[in-house]
Amino acid sequence: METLKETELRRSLRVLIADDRLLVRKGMQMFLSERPWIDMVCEVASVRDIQDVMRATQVDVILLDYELSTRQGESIDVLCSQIPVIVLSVPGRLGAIESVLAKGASGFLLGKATSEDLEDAMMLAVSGGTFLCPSIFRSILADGWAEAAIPEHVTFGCDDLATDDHDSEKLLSEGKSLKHVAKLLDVLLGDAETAIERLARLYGRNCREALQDAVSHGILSPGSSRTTHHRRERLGKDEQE
Amino acid sequence: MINLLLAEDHLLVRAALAHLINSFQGIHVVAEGAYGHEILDAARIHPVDVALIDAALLPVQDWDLIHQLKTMRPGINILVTSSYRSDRYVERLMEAGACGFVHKNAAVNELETAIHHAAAHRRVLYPGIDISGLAATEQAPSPVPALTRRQQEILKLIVDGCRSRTIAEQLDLSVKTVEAHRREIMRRVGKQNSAGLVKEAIRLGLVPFPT
Repeated sequence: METLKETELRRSLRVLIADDRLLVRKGMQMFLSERPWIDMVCEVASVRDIQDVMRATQVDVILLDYELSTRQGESIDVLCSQIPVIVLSVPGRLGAIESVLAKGASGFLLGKATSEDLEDAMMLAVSGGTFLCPSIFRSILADGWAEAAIPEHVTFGCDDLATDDHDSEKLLSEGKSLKHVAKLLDVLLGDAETAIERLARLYGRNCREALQDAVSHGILSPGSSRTTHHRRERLGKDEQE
Repeated sequence: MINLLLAEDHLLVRAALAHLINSFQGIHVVAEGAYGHEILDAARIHPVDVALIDAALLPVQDWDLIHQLKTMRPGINILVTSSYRSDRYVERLMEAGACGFVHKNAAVNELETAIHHAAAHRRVLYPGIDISGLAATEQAPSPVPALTRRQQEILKLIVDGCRSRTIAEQLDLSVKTVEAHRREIMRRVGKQNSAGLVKEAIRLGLVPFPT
C-alpha cells in the first residue's frame, strides 16, 4: 500500500510564497526550487497580491508568513477557504496558534520547524489534511505551558510551593483549587485559566479530556514532570468544583 | 572568499537566507546558529569575517552578543538584519559595535553589496536610515527606561495597534494582566496615554518601527 507521501510525490506542487521580506522570499524561492517535487514557485509581498496570482495561474498551496497577515491586518479567512494555506514562523504561543487554525489554515510551522516539516505540511495540506507542527506539543504543552499560563516565568512546580512551606501534592490531593494554589503562589488566576481554556479549545475538548488525551499519547508525561502532574490533577479538581 | 556566520532563530528562514547568500560571488556561509551560545561557539570554531545577525536575537538594550563576538573575534564585522527599522535602534546597534544594518526587504544585490562592504570594514546602512543623531547621542545619551521581556512584547503589540484583548489573546494572558503591564509600561516611559506611549517608544527605539 502506498503511503500518502509516495502518492503525492508523484505530482509536482505549485507553490506560492507570501512574505513581505524580499530577501526571505527570494531565498525561500531558491530553496524550494531545488526540490524535484516542486514544479513552480512564485512569490508575492502581500495578501492582496495572492488573489491576483491565483487568478492568473494555478496554485496548489500557499506558504504564508505569520507576520504578514497580522502586520497588514488583512484577513486570510476567505483565502483559507479557497486553497490550502500553511502559515510559517508562527510564534510558539497558544493564542497565536489558535488564531491561525481558527482562520482555516491547513497547517502551521513554528520557528523551529525544519525543511522536512515543511515538506510534510505541504503534502498533508494538498491532500486535505491539517498539519500541526510537531514541536508545539513538546515545547508548548509540556515545557512552555507554565510560561504561557503564568507571566514572569513563575512556575507551578513543587519547588515554588516548598518556598512557602506548602506541599503542592498534598494541597492538590486535598482538593485545593487552582484558585487556592494560585493565591499561595501570588500568581494571577486569570492567566492560568486563560491558558487552560485555550489549551482545551485547541484540542476541541474540555480541559480534563484534553489533558488525559495528551497524557495517553505521551505528549505530557505525569511521571516525568511533577509540574505536569500537578496541572493535570489541578484541572480535574477545578472541573469538579 | 568571505566567511559568513548566519544567526537566525527561524530555521526555515535561515535555510532560505543561507541558500541565497551561498549563491553570491565570493561569499560562503561557514556557520549558522539560532541562539547566543550557538552563535558564539560557531564564531570560536570558524574563521568568520562577517556575522549576519537577525535583530530578534538582539533584544533592545541587550548587546551582550555583539560585545562577546567582538571580544572573541576583534576583526569580525557584524551586520544586523530585521523586518523592522528604527533610526534610533540602528544608532544603538552602531554604538554597540555593529558595522551596519540591512532591512530584510532590501534587494538581493543590496545584501550582497552590504556583506562585501562589511568584510572591508566599511559602514553599511540600509537606504533611508538616518543616524545623524549618533554623535549627539554619544555626548548626551537619553535615558532609556528598562522594560522586561514581557513588557517589550506587549509594547510591540501596542505599537502595532493591538487592543488589550487582542494582546491578551496573542500572548495567552488575561486582559487584566495586559492592562496592568500597559499601565506599568506607561509609568516607566512617562506617558499618560497610548498615543504618547507609541510616539515615545518609537523615538527611544524601544520598539522597531514597521515600514
